[in-house]
Amino acid sequence: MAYYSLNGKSVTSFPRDSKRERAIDFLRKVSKENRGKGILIVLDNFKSHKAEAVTKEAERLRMGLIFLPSYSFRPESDRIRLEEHQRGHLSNVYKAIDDMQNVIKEAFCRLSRMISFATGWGDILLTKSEN
Amino acid sequence: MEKLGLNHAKPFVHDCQKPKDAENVLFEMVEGAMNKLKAKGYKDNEIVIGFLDETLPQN
Repeated sequence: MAYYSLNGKSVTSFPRDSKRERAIDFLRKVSKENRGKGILIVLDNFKSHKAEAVTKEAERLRMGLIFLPSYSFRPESDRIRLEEHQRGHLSNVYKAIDDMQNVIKEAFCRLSRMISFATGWGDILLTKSEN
Repeated sequence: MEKLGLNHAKPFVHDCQKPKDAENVLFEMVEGAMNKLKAKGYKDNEIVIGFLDETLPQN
C-alpha cells in the first residue's frame, strides 16, 4: 500500500491484508508523516477504502478522500504507473520477504521523486489549489 | 514496427461505461475537497495532495 504525494511526504506500508483496519492504520501513518497539513487523497473505489469506518477516520484526521469516478481512469488513461516501473525491480529471487519489501520501498522512494510521473497531474491538481 | 505506424503501447479494451468527462468530474471533486479543507482553516500551502493505491503480488 502506498501514498504517492505530489507536494507532501509519500508513504509506503506492507499490510498483511486489505481489510479496512489496515486502511485505517495506513491513513494514520499518512497523517503522522504529513503532520500539520491538510491531506487530500485520491483513491479508487475498493471496498475497504469506502468502508464507513475508514471514511470516519479520515474525517477525524481532517483528511479529504476523493474517490475516482466509477469506470474511469483505467490503465490506458492512467498518467501514473509507478507500479509497473517497480515491477522491473522485482525480477530477482529473494530469500526473505523483508528483502523484497526493502527493494519495493527503495524503488518507490526513488521513483516517486522523479517528477516526470506527476507532471501531468501536478499541472492540473496543484494549479487548482492555487486558484 | 515504426515504419508500419505501430508502436509498443500496451493494448487495452475501451470501456463503454467510462464517463466522457471523467477528468472534469474528478477536478470538481478535488476542488470541493480543497474548499472543505480551507473552510477548516488550512491555507493553500498547507494542503498536500496525493494518490493512494494498493497491490498484491500476482503470478
